[in-house]
Amino acid sequence: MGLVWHHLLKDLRQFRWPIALWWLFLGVDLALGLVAPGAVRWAPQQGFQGGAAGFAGWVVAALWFLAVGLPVAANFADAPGRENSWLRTRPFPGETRLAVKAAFAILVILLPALLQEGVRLAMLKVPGALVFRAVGERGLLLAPVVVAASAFGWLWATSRQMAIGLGVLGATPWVALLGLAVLSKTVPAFAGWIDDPTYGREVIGLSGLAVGFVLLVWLNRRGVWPIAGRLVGAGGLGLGAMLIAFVPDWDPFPIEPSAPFPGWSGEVRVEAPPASVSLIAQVPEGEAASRYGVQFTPEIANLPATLTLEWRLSRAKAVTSEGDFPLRRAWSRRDLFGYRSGTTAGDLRAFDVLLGGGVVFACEPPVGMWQANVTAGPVDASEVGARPFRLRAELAGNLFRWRIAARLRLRAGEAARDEAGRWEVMTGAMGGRAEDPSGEAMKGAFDRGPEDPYLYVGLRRDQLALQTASDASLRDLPYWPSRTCEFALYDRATQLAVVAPFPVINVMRLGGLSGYEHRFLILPFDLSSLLVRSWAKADPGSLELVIFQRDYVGSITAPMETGTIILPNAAAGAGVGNLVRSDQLTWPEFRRRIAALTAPAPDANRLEVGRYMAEVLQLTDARRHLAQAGDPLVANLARYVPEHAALFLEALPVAGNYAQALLRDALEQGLSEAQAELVVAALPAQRDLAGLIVRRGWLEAARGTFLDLAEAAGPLNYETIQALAWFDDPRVHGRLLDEFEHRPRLAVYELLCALPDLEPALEQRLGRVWDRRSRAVRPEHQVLPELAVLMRAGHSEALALALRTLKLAPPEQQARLWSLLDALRDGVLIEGLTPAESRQPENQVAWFSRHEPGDFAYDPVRRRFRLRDRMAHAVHE
Amino acid sequence: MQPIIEIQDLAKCFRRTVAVDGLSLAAPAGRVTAFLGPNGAGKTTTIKCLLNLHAPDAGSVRVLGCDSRRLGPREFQQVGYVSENQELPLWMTVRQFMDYCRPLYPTWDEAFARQLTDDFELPRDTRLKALSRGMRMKAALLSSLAYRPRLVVLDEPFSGLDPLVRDEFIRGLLELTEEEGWSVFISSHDIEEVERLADQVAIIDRGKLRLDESAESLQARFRDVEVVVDGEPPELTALPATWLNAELSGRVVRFVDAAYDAERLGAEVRARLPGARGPVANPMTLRQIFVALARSHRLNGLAPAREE
Repeated sequence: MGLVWHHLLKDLRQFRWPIALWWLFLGVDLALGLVAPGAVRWAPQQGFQGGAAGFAGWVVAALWFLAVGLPVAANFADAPGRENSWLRTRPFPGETRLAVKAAFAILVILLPALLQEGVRLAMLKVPGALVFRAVGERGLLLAPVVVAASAFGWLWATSRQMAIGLGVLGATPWVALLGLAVLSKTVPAFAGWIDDPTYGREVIGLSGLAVGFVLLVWLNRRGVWPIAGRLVGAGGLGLGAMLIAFVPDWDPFPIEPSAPFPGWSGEVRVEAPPASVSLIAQVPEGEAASRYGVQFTPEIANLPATLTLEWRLSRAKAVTSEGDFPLRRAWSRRDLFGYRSGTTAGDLRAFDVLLGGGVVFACEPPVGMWQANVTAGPVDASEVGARPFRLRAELAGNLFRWRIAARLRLRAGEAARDEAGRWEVMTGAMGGRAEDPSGEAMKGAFDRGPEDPYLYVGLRRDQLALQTASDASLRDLPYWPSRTCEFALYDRATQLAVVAPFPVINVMRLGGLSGYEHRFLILPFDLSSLLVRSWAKADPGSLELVIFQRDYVGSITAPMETGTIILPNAAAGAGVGNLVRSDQLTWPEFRRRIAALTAPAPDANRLEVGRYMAEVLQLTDARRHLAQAGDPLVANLARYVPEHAALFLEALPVAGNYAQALLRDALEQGLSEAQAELVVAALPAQRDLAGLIVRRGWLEAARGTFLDLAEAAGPLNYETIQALAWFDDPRVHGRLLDEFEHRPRLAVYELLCALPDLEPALEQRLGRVWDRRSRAVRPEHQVLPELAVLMRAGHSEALALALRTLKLAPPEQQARLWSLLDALRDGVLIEGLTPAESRQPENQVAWFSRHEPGDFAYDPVRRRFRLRDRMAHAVHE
Repeated sequence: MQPIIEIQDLAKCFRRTVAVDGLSLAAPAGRVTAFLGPNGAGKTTTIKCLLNLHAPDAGSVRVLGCDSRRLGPREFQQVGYVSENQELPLWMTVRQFMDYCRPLYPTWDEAFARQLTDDFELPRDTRLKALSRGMRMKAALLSSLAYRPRLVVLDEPFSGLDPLVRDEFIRGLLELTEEEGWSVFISSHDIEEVERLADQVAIIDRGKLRLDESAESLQARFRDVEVVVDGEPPELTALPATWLNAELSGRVVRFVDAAYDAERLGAEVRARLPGARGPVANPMTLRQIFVALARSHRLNGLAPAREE
């Protein structure tokens, strides 16, 4: 010990000026943090206030410089590789040397930094437990830095070698990135890799750093003892950990697929029906050719219980018969593990299960259940052309399990804490004790008055967290709560819940050397929904704040290949209709201009007819004219169909919406039987012609084309489904069921019911529709359409849910729940009212309000629920 | 007595440069061994291998009976090392330097250190940075002698010193070695520097040992011989191999006899140089011997056998 102290004193004397500077900056940082404007304050109720501006950035930079530079210098001074060092031939044991340098790191660097942090927090009167955790956290962040710096200084024989080593470590990541950038641009196999988060820039940079460390070992192969290799490794680990910990916005390493998933039995199937592919046309200004973003939404089979899945796209390419075209990903690096774009239907399903089932969420309809909604592209039309292509993609899905992290009762007049004491919640209505000035201040900040539809809940998390990317729940500081946590206000009595959107985050950072911050969240809950307006803002005592938190479970990859896609030819322009100015014509002006056009004879040449048609279509779109039955405009155009049907079909893709309707009506009116083949040939590119084909009875002629559509990508419209159902071809049953499950419409259900072979499969799909139903209810929007289908199919749970949802709204508002009432009317036979009476919302409300779900029974003949007593009476009769 | 330093077939390369090539050498204990050679001969590399500052590529080196690769604190407590390339702690004063070294050596003799400080006239409170090169070398020597090491290794200690300082240094060293009976291993490229010190002389050139012999033996067998020849100048052919650098200047024949024996010399002279008068054999300094050897190209692998 004597020798260790003796050598340590030598080091202290040798580096006395830099050490003095270190202490000076620690003092300046402390002073700034305590007395500077905007310095951090601590208040028992609000926790940390202020921050960020409490210290000067340059002081922090200087501290970091010294925290790294001092250990490097102290260790380099006596590095064992320095053969001309006066200590090399002195009786200085290696263990003593190590102990001396460790003591230097601890006593000179670490302890003062920890002491400074403890003093600061103590002077802020922060609770003792927090001080302890904060000081420990600073140590955990600073220690690897100091170890790595010490190891680095230990390695070198000369300052020249050290400079080279620094250069190697600094350069190798950039060289690796540059190499990747060049490869991405020049070698097709590497196209897009520079933007690919899976093999993204950070991973490549770190890999370059690893190569740099290997180079360092090689550079040192002759300089020092073999222990240097281990030291380099240790130093490399330390540096690597430091980089991961401190580099902001540093994405974590990609998540490797894990199988089997812990604690979960079953399998995940990726069903990627072609129905899930849609195209988004983009016509950038000034460009002639179109580019398309391809959006596809793979869906998977049901996940059990509280699991949710988030997809991201790894690779995508368009596969044609003449080669493959890789698609770049149009999404940002943030679409990685942990980033949330909002509450999904799958999340609400999990919350429903966690809360015991039967919960209604009075909030906006969320993103689809297990949809990827990823966009790849653009697909250059000039490149792919009109060739049919398939999309081949590789998706990576991250699986999460939700759990309830805390349930906090809201109580007027006091803050609530959870059992673990980590969360504390208060509302704007409470704001703490009246005599507490900080409480009043908080109340003012929350409550913006009686017209404000939001209920604000303040949430404080007494937990200091490391800013480490390896901790998925804290990967992105400003948004970590919204990354892994969701917050809901829940009323147990009514089983009604409201989920908070993105919370307002108040970020405090303390100290430059530590990475923790203290969170004070303001959660705004939108109470404008009809169902929750009765929640009294002034007395939230019946409500509890439920904090859901999700844990990462594992990941899967799934390949997906769509059916055939054909890009529409947008080179023909953005559509005749779109070229017309959007100024709406007045009806008289529209008629005058139509009348002013010179209509050519029906057998006029193509050019004349085309010109006339273009004028009519332009005016139709400009007026937004929707032709009704018997509209002379339709008849006028229909005259040209026998001779120029092809022209009409060519015009369809490029016409605006209203013009298209006009064209279809004219075609339907003017087409002859002999022209059936022409229409059928145009069907693949113009699926809206399906209705015309069905109505004209050309199903057999179009059988092959319809069957091809069942294989192609893109959603099927109702008429196509109608046609396929009419064929009753077992080869398309699967597609029909997929379409139904994906978009559960009553009309489609009725079609499929007529196919007896489908009944068992249909029942199964109905079960999935029920399970995947949207739990979110905003009656002002079109939600709960699946309830009508489910009630038609005899699902009593759907009926119970519909009735309960109706009664959740205040009585005077129930008549406004139009979509819900429509669903009830579709699923329940309203008896005792005349048809005219039953169409009145008020009468419907009154009728349904008188009954409970148990009052109804399912009538399989009528495919509706009926009152039991009415059914019994009918049977008796 | 076991040699204090034993080197057996030492080899050391730096990339493609062969610094030491199969060197075998033994430095006797209690003697001053001068390790001589021109610049770049391999002297410093050999010394660094001695002290485990370099790892040998081949061969073995033993110091104080211990493998050089295993030299540890206990061995270094008995070794003093001073080198012209050594990086001293220039920020320390002489006093601080001594105070720092003292606890490292159990045999540190404070009185001796003070005496050396006075003898070397070192200013105690002056930083090493502020001292002249010669004074720094003295300070380094002081720090390496104050604990009375068994072995003192000096690598070019006189390099850059002015003659007065050099003289003082040598004198001081001589006194100490005589008094203390230390083993000294000193390298230099200048024979004159170490002539007064050396008991044993080893000469290295281009990584190979050329000569390893006691100074006494060297000086005993080498003579600078002059012979005056009457009559016709003789042909200087078929001379004995031990007669080096023979040359004729007028009627005087001069050569260096590398195996001097008075009787034999006289007989040889009479036999090979008819009409010769003399010979006159003069003792030679080490420097003269070294130069003669060099001139005779004997340094290229034809060193005469050493007398045991």
